[in-house]
Amino acid sequence: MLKGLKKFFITTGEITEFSIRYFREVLFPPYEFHELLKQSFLIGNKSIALVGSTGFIMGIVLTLQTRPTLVEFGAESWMPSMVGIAIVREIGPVITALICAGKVGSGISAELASMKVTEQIDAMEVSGTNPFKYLVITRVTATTIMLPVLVIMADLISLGGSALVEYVKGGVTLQLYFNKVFDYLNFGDLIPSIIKSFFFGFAIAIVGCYKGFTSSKGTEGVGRTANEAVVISSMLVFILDFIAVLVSDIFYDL
Amino acid sequence: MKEREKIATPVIEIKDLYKSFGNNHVLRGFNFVLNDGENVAVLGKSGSGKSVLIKCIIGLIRIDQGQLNVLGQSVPELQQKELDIIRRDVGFLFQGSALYDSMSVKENLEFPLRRHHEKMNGGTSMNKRVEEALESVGLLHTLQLMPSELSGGMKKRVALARTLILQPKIILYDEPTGGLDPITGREISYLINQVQEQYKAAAIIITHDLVCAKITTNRIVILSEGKNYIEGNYDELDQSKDPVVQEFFKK
Repeated sequence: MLKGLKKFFITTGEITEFSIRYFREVLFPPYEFHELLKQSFLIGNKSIALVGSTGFIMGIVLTLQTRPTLVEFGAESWMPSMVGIAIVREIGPVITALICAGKVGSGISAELASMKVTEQIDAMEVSGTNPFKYLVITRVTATTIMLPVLVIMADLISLGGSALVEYVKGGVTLQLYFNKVFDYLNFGDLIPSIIKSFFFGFAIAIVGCYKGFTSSKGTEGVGRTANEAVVISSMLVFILDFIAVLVSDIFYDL
Repeated sequence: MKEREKIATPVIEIKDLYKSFGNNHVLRGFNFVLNDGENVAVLGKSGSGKSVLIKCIIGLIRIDQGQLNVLGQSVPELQQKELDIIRRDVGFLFQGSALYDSMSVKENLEFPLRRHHEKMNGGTSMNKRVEEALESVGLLHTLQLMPSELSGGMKKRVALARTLILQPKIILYDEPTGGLDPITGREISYLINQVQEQYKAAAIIITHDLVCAKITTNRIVILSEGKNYIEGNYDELDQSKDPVVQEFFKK
């Protein structure tokens, strides 16, 4: 118990130190723009299918599950606004972040851990490249930028799924559905959601990079670090979401 | 064994080098000098600190105590930028080749060149430098292949080409024939010999492989209990009656 607590505090301290190093080095040259673009493409483009399909299913399921209750109260006309707010404020960012924690976070940590095991990180350093800048800063920046993009895309696709159910079940046209959604959504829903997505992206990538960079115990450690990265970053997503909701409540009086 | 004219200009000087990892005292007062154009093999048992030694030389591991000069500069006192400058002149061949998995052979070779533009002098284009380096290891046809498509021996050759591309003054080889069959190991040893002649670089070759040591080096140092136990050429050590030396050389 005491050992676990000690390990928790050490890991928290090291991740904080790792994050501070990111901010210390991100502003100073050399800038690895080519690698940043490549990572943005890999992280963004390669997650589109998964995030998109999950978002679509999420919209359909949420609408199908909620519809009977709203119908019972004769409140089915509230469906677009209710689903819209739920998806944009909470479900879209959190589900997308959790998917990315599983896909992107584990990918980054496994990649860096295997690079460490096979001395590729040492080889990079020997060739005069700062591995932190080349591997960590590019991946963390790319994930931080791409996650909000994926969240917006997931929100739209999710609303599309919901609109489809409403069209089939209630005969609501797409135009009417989206008009109702946008009537009820305001910046107080959208902005905190986008801002917290940046934090989710940062947390997922920094944990993935930290675990990969500090991996030990050879190839056995590669799988373990990937697993730990997913667990820690998923947990962080919920903690950050909780903080974001509290802060948003102060500024936007939710 | 190669007989090369010895010029007594030290490129690496190590005096009383100490390095420990917790209670594991790996290097305990190691002394060593590598002269320009000289190829030296460091033999030692597994875990004796051979790889730690060359990682200290390149600045991947910080030393605890002692003097460590590379090309006239004290490595422990160098700042990161100064260390990077030294590293342009020191090539390192890793035990497992350490080719970047996500890059093609061509990109692997271009990587160090992109970092050191100033080494791209004389109007030689990057492509030409890459082709020359690959040609010197006989693998020009692998230019567009990925590392996963290469055999162990080919990976070593490509890694050697990547080490050579910046035309270093010193090359550190970490188990260059490790994990290879005896025939491929011998081919790599002759290749090292050939490129050392071609590039006129000094070299430290960490190895367990006596055949490799015999083919590639002028001098052999045996590392035992963290110190340079004995040194000499292959024939001298082969005839030595010392029990520690005999452990390595017994047939």
